[in-house]
Amino acid sequence: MSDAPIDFTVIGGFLGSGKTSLVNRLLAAAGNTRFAVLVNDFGALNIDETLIRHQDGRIMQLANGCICCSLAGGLVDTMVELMRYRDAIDHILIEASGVSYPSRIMDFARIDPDLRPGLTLVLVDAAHLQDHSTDIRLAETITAQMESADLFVLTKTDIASADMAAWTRDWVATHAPDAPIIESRPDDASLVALITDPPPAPDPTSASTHHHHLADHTDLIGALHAHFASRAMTATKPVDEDAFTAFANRYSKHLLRGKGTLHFHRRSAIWQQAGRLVHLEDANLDIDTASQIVMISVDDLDEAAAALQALGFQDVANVPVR
Amino acid sequence: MSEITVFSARDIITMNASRPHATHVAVRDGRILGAGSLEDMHQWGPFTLNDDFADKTLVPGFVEGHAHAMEGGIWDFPYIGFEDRWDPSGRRWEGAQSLEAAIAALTAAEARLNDAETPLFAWGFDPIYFGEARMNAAQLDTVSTTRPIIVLHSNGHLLNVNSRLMDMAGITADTNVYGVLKDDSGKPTGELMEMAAKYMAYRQTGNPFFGGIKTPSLLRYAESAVNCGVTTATDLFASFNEESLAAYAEASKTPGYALRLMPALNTIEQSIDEGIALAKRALQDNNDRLHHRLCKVMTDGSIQGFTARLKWPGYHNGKPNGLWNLDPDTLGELVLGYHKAGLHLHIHTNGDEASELMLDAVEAAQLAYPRPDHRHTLQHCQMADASQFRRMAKLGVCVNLFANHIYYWGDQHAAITMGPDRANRMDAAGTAQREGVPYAIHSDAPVTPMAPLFTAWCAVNRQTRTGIVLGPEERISAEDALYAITLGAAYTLHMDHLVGSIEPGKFADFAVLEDSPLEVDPEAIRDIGVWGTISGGTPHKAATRTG
Repeated sequence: MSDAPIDFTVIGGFLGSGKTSLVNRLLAAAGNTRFAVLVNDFGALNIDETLIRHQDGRIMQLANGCICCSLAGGLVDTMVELMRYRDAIDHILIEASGVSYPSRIMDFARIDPDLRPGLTLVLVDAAHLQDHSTDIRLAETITAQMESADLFVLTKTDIASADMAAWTRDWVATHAPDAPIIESRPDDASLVALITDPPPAPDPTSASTHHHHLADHTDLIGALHAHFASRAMTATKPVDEDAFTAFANRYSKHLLRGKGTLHFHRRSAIWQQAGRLVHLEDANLDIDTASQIVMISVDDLDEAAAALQALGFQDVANVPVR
Repeated sequence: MSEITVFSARDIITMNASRPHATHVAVRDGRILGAGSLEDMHQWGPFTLNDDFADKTLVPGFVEGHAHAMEGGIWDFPYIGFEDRWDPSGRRWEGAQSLEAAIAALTAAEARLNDAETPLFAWGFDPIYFGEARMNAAQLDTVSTTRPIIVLHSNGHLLNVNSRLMDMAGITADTNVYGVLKDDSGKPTGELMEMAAKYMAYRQTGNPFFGGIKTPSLLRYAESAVNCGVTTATDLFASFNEESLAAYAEASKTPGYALRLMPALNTIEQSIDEGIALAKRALQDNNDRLHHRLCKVMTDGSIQGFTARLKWPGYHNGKPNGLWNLDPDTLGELVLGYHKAGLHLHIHTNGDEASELMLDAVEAAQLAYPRPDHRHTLQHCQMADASQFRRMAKLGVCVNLFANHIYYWGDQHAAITMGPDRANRMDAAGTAQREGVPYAIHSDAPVTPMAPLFTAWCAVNRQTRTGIVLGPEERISAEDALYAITLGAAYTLHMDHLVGSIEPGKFADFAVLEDSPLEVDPEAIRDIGVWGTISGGTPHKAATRTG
């Protein structure tokens, strides 16, 4: 029986924005992570029937350890049912219906100590957002979704005209000025990496902690660096916590992903950030441990790095920019 | 040849235009041979004369086009609503007209549980009538500190829980989640709303209302129907899982089952193709007492929950517009798919924007796959304006209006949700009548009590609980109201060839009333006593009211 909370991720976005493609890709790339994905339509999932190990009503267990769950019975009852399997789940991923409010769904993780609030990702269909956002039946819902996402993924930029894609990007930026916007295919490996990226610091007290982190950082960079700019920094002296928190919120638009271990004056913490999602969790690091962070951005990180230098950080390595 | 029974009555209101009144009705093999005078009866040969109802009024068995079989099973849990209600066995559950009364009712219910940990659920709580006073955890703690307590509000959106439940769920002053309400000192009050808080509560206790319908509920549902004169009723939002389908079949074949049951497949529980296949497969279970073919679509939420989708100018108090249940495009695809498959759609729309979306969807489906006489029905359809009724008439769409709402929440609609103008046009039976839209009226039991005479009273009088008449122009006559709860409702269910009037060939389904709804003062329609029903020619007496 594991007491570690289950990671909880919400994927929002309107019909046709690519949520199912992303879920399919994620299931295929699950690795050792036992995902439970909650989707509106089982049928749309790309599941090889020979890999279905067990099916119990609306809950399906796959050979790779993942669970697929239909949301047809409603989110509340489905989650109650699913949590009976909590020991078999590492990470819950909800495919929010196009008309739901992702932040209300993330509330499940905010209220249940068995869940850890994670990323709220909203996919935006660049070819159709203009239609949707001007449709009086949908406008309010879409605007509300803009408020609840930690970061946005612009999909279908390949079929949208350049003008339309630019209009969409501007519209999202206007409604969510502090959130990163990525352009990507919904089944891109980098999105999967953003969601599956394991938290750092398996054992902060062990002597090898330091190396663990560097290894984690390298993996993340490996998965993402082909697409994004990244930067690793370190600080040997304790960091001012308030200043760091201010930095994290100020640069949220550029911080597609940030993670690391931080040594503040009063405590040490694990930092996890994905756009507007900022987490600082208590850690138990040795007093002389250096702060180690890595940042990934859709654009360059020079400004952010300069801000961190003012807090005592310096570069570990510059990873090539796209 | 089977035996003939002739029932005599003071008056038989047949709803058959070619023979509107009779004193006798002949029944053979559960079906009506004919209605007329005693002399007319002799044409059928020898019969047994049943004079048990000689001083009563017979009308066609009432048809409840929008209710839920949960009405049968929900009485396993204590009711603490505002008004008195009677369960299927006739037991009176006294209305809780104050917070103190609600707590006292819970204390009494608690005393009936054996061990100290079993969760206590109660339903129907409606503090909207208590002004500012709210129930809190401390009050529920006087009921029990050892078992979790969950009180469901009648609006379906809120719960009240006790401290025991909050302890189990880890809900404290540090819980900062939308929907966990707190008092001035920052402590959670025990009032929970929205999905996340509900999930946390049900995670501790399980959701007692989860899963499909079971046979005992369906049996009690039929008892409830007998008590109010209903002989045909829907279960208008049904899971078609194996257990539920087996329960429908089993209940309908139970000897003496006094109801013709019409479950409606919940179309969002599976893909469109699977749903259509399920609905069609269920047809093979059909028998005289079980009529599959209905399919339910949920479009938006509720008006009093501020989740109905409204057209401009939206909610009177400025609350944001409500919620679609699914993407509008997906809802359109549902309508198209089921329409094409020849199934019969019953479409929940509360707000006028939802009604418009679904009228657009039916129109598109009709253009793509023209289908005469589809009788797709907008259910509730509380806010539709006259132009929408005109579209319904042109598209062949029927409507089933939630007339009971006028009494139960009409005052709140006028003051808070809709404002006076639009509250006047709520559940506009008068407009439906004028524009020629086939219509029924309903209770949505167990949301409000199943009692078609009460529902008819609402449509005829349009009185709110405080006695205001809401939109007098939308009132209908007693004759039209009686039609709406018999043949009108049967029409919306595609059952008017089998039930809804007393004419040869139809099922011998009658409501046995103490008075004629057409003769009493219109304000007294709701007070007419119901002796019970005759279903398929067999009398079923209503439960004696007790308590």
